[in-house]
Amino acid sequence: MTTPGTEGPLFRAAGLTREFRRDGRVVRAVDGIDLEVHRGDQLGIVGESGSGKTTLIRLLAALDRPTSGQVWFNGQDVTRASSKQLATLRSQVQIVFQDPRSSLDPRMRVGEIVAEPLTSRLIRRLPDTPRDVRARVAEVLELVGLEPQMAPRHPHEFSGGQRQRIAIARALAPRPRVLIADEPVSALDVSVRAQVLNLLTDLVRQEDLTMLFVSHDLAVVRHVCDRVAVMRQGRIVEHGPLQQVWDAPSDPYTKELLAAMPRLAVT
Amino acid sequence: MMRRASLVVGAVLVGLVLMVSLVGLVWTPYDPARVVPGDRLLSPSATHWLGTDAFGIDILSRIMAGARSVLLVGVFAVGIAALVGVPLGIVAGMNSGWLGRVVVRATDVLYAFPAVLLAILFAGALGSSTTTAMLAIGIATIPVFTRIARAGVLQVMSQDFITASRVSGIGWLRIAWRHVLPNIAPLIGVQASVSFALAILAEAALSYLGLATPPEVPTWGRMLYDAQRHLLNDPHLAIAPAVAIAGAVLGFNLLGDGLRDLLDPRLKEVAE
Repeated sequence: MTTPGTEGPLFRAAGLTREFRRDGRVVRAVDGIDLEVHRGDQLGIVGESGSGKTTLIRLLAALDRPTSGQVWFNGQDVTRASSKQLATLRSQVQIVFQDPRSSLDPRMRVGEIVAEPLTSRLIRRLPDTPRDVRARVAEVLELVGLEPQMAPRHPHEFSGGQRQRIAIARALAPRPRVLIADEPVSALDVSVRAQVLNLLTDLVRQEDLTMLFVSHDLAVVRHVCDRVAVMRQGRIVEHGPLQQVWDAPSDPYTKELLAAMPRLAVT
Repeated sequence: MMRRASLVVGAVLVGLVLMVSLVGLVWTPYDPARVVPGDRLLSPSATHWLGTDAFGIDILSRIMAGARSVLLVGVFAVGIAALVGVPLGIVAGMNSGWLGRVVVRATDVLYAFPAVLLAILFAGALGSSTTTAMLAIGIATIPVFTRIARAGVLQVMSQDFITASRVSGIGWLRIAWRHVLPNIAPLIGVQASVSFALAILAEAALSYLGLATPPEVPTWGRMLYDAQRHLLNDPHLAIAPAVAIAGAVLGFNLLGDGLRDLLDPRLKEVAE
């Protein structure tokens, strides 16, 4: 399904560079990245910590401005857009963070947390935003496998896996087109990782979402993505269909990553 | 155990001060302003539990009446300091640009002024009164609240729930009101309790110096000042207000400590 004026890639980045100054030294967290993300892509972004994965998605989500280079969302240049012009991007791109202990305000109730994107002044005015906030909150809580009756409770009353479900519910509330997941299972107990991953893949299919999945773990990415970009020191060193990268990595660093993975004798 | 004890003792002492000042509003054993020349410098007895001062005024009555101005100064001074200091601290913590830096520097400058100096300045400009003391102590305490608020804000701002709000385009004012303020509130509460103790102490010092309350209004600091001339022969004049000040200050400090331990989950984890 394509709406008029939305041909071409969803995200396009060209020469994207972000430098940070640390103790007088200039560090290039993201170093000249070109990237296209198309509707329906499930793109995994893999790399070790410090490789610039998080900086990259912050730039794509217009939470940070690049030192040089540009990002287009739906054909619109977002690198120099005002906060009002970002309304579409804000309503269509949501993030699920690594640690739900940090991403859920401990002083707020679950219902308020999940409702927050819907009450944003920027998002509220858009035609596609659900109007009935309470109904939408109940709906997304059910979607992630929680009871709507849990809305009046506080995050600390839930387990880690349940908390991550709350964070996912919040991200889904404004009916986004893109879900960015930043290491969404790394902070969770191993026993609930698979559940949360399955939930994410189900939701992506069900809601017809485009997903950017950031992880240091190729095995996890393989579970949920169809394309993968391998990052190292702010650059994308390899990019392609997952199976191809998995079976025949061309970059030495990707080979190293694959070799470092503990493997079980499964297909 | 110790943590529990400081909270309880602090609450009891603060409760006592509150009660005494409330009772003092409607009833005191004797008129705290009536001079009785025949009863000068009486030692504590059954009729005058804490004795009388150089004007024959019942000391217990003066202590009870004085508690009110102590609380008044404390509430208003801490109120001024928190109402101005906390918003400034939030701005300083949320804005990493020039605005935040200006607030931090201005706070540092104000921090260098002792309350007494401000009080002398204000007394010169406005005359010495309870209002002068409240203003001086309040303004001198602003930087304390700015700093503690800013430290708390920086910690809150590094959390992912702030980024999550930004992802949805929530404005910074709303982030400050809905996320930042509720999360730093316990910190501010603890600081308020500790600052209250310091304000009581400062008020006593300013009254003692004659910079705060005029002589006819009973305050603990003023009583201490008046007791000075009779210290050798009639030490009971000084003991009552001194104990009252020490008790109130100790009470608010212990309450602050107890609250901090109760509200700070990280300390709790270390203790367990």
